[in-house]
Amino acid sequence: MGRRWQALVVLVVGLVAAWGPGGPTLAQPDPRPALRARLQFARPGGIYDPAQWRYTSDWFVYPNVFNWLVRWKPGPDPRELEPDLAERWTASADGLVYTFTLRRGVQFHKGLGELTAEDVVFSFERQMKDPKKSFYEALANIKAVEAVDRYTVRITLKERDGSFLWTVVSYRPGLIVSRRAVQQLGDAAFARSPVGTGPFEFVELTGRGEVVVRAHDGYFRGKPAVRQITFVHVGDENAAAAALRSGDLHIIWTRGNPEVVRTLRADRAVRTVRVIEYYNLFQVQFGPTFRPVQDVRVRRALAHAIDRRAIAAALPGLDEMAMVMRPPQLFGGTTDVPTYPFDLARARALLREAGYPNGFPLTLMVQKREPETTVAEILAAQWQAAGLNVKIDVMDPTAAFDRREKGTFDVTISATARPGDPHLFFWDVFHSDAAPPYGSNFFRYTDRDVDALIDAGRITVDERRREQIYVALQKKLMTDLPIIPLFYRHYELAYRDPVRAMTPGAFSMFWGETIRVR
Amino acid sequence: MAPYIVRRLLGAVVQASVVLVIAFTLVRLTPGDPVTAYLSRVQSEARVSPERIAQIRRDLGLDRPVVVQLGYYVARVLRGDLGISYTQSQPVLDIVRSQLPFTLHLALAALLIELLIGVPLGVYAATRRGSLADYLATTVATAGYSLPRFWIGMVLIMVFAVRFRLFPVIGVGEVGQPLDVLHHLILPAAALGIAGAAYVSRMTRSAMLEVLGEDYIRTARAKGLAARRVLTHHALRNAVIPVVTVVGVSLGRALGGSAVIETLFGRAGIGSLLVEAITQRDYTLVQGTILVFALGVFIVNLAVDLAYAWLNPRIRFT
Repeated sequence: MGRRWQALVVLVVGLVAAWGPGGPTLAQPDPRPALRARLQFARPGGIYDPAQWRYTSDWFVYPNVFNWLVRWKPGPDPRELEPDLAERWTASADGLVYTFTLRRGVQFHKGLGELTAEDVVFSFERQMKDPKKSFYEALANIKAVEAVDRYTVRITLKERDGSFLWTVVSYRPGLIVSRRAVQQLGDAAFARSPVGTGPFEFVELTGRGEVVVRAHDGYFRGKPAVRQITFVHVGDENAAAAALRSGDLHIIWTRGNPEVVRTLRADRAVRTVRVIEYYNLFQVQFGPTFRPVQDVRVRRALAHAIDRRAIAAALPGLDEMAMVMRPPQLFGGTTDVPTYPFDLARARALLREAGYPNGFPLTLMVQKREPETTVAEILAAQWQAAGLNVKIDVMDPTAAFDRREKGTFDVTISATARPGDPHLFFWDVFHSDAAPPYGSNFFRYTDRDVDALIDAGRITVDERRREQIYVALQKKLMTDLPIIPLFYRHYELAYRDPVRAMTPGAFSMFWGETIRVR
Repeated sequence: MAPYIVRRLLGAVVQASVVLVIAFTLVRLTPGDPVTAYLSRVQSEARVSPERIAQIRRDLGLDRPVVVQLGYYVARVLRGDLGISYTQSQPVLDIVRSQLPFTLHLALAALLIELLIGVPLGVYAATRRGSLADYLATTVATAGYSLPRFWIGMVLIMVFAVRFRLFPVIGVGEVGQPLDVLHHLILPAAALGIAGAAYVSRMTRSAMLEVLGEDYIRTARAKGLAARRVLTHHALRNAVIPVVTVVGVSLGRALGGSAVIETLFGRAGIGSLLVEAITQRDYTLVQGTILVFALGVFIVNLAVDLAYAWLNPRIRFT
């Protein structure tokens, strides 16, 4: 037999062996679609280590790559917790010790093995020990995180915290990373090649600013319905909508632009879902050194001078007008508080009473973006009608942020989004310890009773009691009025073929595992 | 010519230094703390202690006097190091290098569109001076020049991407697949190039009108040369010299305009990079990107000047 024949026989035998039972099979193409989705926020991210987190856009990607011990049940309103990496958990009677039992057999991406208690301990400790990590301060109340055995983790707190599961374990500081991957790669490389246990495995951050994730078929909740998701940064809302309509993108998020929403709703190829973020309060904030607003009567006058119907008319069908800080749709929310309906005569009377019968000059600082600029124009016109001399000062977000931090503004408007537990919002905006840079109490509002109620809400474990505390707190706050609630923000989730359904997430969370395709 | 080029390059170094100092100063005069950008606190609302903020300021060298900061920065640039981006934690040079090809593709494609539309339109209008076609070309050119690029871009997207689905709206295409890259390039390049085409056509028309009135054109015609040959060989070659000046300006403008178009079309590139860097107060990235932009414009201007000599042998460099 010549050499050519020998080679042919070897080839045929090899092919038969490859196709035969037990032999290796040729790869079948994955029939699942690959999707392209817009990163919600108008800036590309780039650091995919949750412990070094910087950009809200990155939160679009995190829930796809990582898991928590316990997580918010996917959906627009985080009202319920559900097991994630921990199949069950218990809290000690004194509320200081939490014990989590891990699922068995949960696999990290890239063949890095099974998740164990050591990975959980490592994920918390690397943040607790390094002041440079994003959530160092947020984890200050943890005394110890221990691996009791391979599948049991115990977290001991320094003091009781009724919001612990919501604000730490299932929130930003609580994502679990692969210890092996971090130790092998180091922090810098891990941030560009992260390894978690989520439904999608991180593939790459391309030079074009796109983030590519691929289905993790070993995901403990089952195979994702899509093969790959590419997250694309599109800064302009109109361009993003056009890209969805043309089929360039399959899923986008948009907010604040009525024209874009109208266009999307009119397109029959596009399905839209409106999500009201009741935890995302757009509000009037007061400057700590602007003399007139130090008087509560002036703050109330400004509130009475606002006609929310005009704002609603300018943002048709979009944001939901707000008369209270935290609505009953959320845990701890209530409408049983003093409110300030539109009443121009009352506003003028209050200004007279406060010693400003002829009003006063006021500069309304506003970030250059929608809907801030539109709302600012409406407020300025309404406060002018109440007798004030209002000037609008438009600036970019970074400059506005720094002036809020320094307190060098008269009055401004901005949104505060604090999903989940009420403690996050109330502490961050009203506690005297939350003056910048520690928190978002830009007014430097200080009230002992308020501080005491916020602290009590945190350390109380009984849910009914907590709810009562937050109602009492809101009564006090709506009387003092350190901010004026304007409306709850909204976003529009829009998708097209082949996406059939998707659960919208709370607070910029993209739940890739909930996507269903045709 | 060599001494001329050396002299121009030395001049470019001086000009680049001036640009660098201006960029360095301007970015620091803009309100907004770079430490805020470094921690991305506008987005993350991260809680940090004043001690940590002070530590980061020290780490970034921002606690030193501005003149000292400038001195350190110039020393680094001279070593070919543009610093580390505050927001991306990577060398600025690497970031700019990775984004530059996308912007160059866009600017060159826009230039090509300017020339392909502008020059024939200008020649056509000049050879039919005073006719309806001339008025029409002038009207179209004026309209094209007056329209904002952003608006042109949106119209192109709505018509060619959303309505007819001929082109994609966003992205730069798959690197390594030239046809895909080209497919993604056409709409943004058109958005950037249409206004320039209008300007080029106006310049070509006036240059052609001037040349067509010259004695040597009359002589060429009297010799019995074909009208097409007179136009292409005698008139256009001389008329194209002022147009080359416009091309230099156009390329610079296209580089500048890339910021708007890249943002609109969701394209990577140093234009959109600069916009982000300014928004984030990423000092090192702003400085590095502006420096690269400036060097790009210097190189284009030098190339334009050299092209004069090639086109017109009467021009000598001294």
